[in-house]
Amino acid sequence: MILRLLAWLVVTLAIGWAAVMVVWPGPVRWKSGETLLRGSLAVGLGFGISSCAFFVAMVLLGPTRLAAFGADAVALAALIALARSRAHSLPADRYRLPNAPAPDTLDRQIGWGIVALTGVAAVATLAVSMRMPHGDWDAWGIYNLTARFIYLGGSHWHRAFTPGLGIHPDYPLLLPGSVVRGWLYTGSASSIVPAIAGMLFAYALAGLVAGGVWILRGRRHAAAAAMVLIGTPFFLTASASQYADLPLTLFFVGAIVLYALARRLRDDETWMLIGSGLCAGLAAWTKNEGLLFVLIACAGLFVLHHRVRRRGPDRRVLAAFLWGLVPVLVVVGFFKLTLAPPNDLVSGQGSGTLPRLVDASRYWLIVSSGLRFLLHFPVIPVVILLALAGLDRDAGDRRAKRLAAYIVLAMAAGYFTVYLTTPLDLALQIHRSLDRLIMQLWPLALFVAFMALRLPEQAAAAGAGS
Amino acid sequence: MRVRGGRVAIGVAILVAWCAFGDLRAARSNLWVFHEAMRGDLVDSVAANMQRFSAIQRDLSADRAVGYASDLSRDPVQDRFLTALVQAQSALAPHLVFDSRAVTPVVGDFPGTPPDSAQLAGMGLRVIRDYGRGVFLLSRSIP
Repeated sequence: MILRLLAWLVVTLAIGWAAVMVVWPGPVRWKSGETLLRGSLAVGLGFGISSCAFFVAMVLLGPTRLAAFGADAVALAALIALARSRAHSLPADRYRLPNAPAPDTLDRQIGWGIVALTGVAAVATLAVSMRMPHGDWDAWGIYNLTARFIYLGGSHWHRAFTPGLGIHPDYPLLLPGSVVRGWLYTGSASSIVPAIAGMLFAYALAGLVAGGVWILRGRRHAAAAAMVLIGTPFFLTASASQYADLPLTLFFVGAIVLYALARRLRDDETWMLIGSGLCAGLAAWTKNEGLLFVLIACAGLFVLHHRVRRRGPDRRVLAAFLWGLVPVLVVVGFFKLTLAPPNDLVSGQGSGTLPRLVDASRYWLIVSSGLRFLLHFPVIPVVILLALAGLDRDAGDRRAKRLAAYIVLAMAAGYFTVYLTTPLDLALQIHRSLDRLIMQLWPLALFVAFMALRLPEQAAAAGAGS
Repeated sequence: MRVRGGRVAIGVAILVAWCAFGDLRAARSNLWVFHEAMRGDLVDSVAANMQRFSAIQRDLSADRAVGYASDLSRDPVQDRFLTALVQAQSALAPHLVFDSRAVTPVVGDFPGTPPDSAQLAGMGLRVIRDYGRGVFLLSRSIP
């Protein structure tokens, strides 16, 4: 069992690492933000790409070991071949970022502080995971339920999408697909598979935020960002709850970080933008909110790069992003059009929508609940730090910061609209989902805040693009 | 522009204290889990329900959907009925379990006091088999 579990993890991470080496080739510099960022991205891309490939194979072959192993083998071989050809065709320092200054004593002390905080967080996560080994409500009521019907269903696996089964049988399959792959590797529907996937996603998310800020702003900014994320109590609960919100936000952050890096490496940004689009697509493959993210990100990129010229560099940005996005959207579209039942929030719209839109009490309920729930997150110390330290307007990466800030605000507006128009009981829906929705945007908001924060640090941001 | 180090240090100190406090509080509030785990008292409702329903699974036909009946409250705030239904769906996968008494046979889920035949008759149901621990296989009673 343990060896098979390891095989699932190693293959998944190998697929992810190969994908990272395609979008971001070059020598690995251990003990650097690059390695942290690449490793964290590898977790997300590994689970994302392998679950997409498995879904395609499952449609053809059913939920069998042949489908899982075959899809993994094809994906891994293709990505390794592509990564090798990319590595050979580029000079070794093509993607090289400026060297960060060596850590001083204070940096080492901060590092140990982060390790201690992570240790405490790991204890809390482990305890929550032991308390609910099958995850929290949505985990066993949506994702693991879907995974069980696919895995145990044999040729009837499509029953997993029967209306009335669980609460959201229309949700996309990144998590259920990854869990089914794990069960096919291990040979049993063990609860340890989704638990491991959930924790890997959570800590990869922390690594992604920290690694991204480290490379783009510096080590101390990254340490502060990581500290806030790991010190968010809801993050600890969410990492053991096996919900899709942390994987979703991992892809949100991944898309923005790769976009920011692409802007830094303007000489050859195409593949990183493809990676950014791929992350956006995988967000849509994780949860329905990911589709909103895709729409908002595409609109944001279009506005930021609106000076469209034939064969001009701005047009290339959008095109490269779409090259990464569209293949995954095709898979999502196929799933939505052929297997998924209608979404309850969409199908519940009709004559009652307009009265809901003009009901002032609903606006007040959403706003007041939003502010109340927001205080469950460490917003106050971040605002205090921003107020005391100030914003660094010269730090560069202006477009990436603008895009990320716009996405956070537009996504929040989108969620507001969904609440406003929901045919379900509004207070109950807010009670059940608002903390998770804030969690989806919290890491991206932290990324923007710590990218903009002015800290007394040596500028690792030298050579920043705009 | 020079960064004001003293003010930043205060901001960072507040941040560190806040985050450390949040983590320690979260860890402390969950420490009881380790005590219960060591005593073997840790109850996982999903696993417990899987065990409860394991006996009835053998008597269900793979090609046929089943109904569901329970005496749990349908109060949407507490969600006890929906929680029990979805846990039954998960435990009985890949059998399809629907929130209906019209689809037969019906899986009876009465985790509290087992119902007597008069109560079941009131629901239009009768017992085919009692698996213990509040799990029944039911069919519609002939009027």
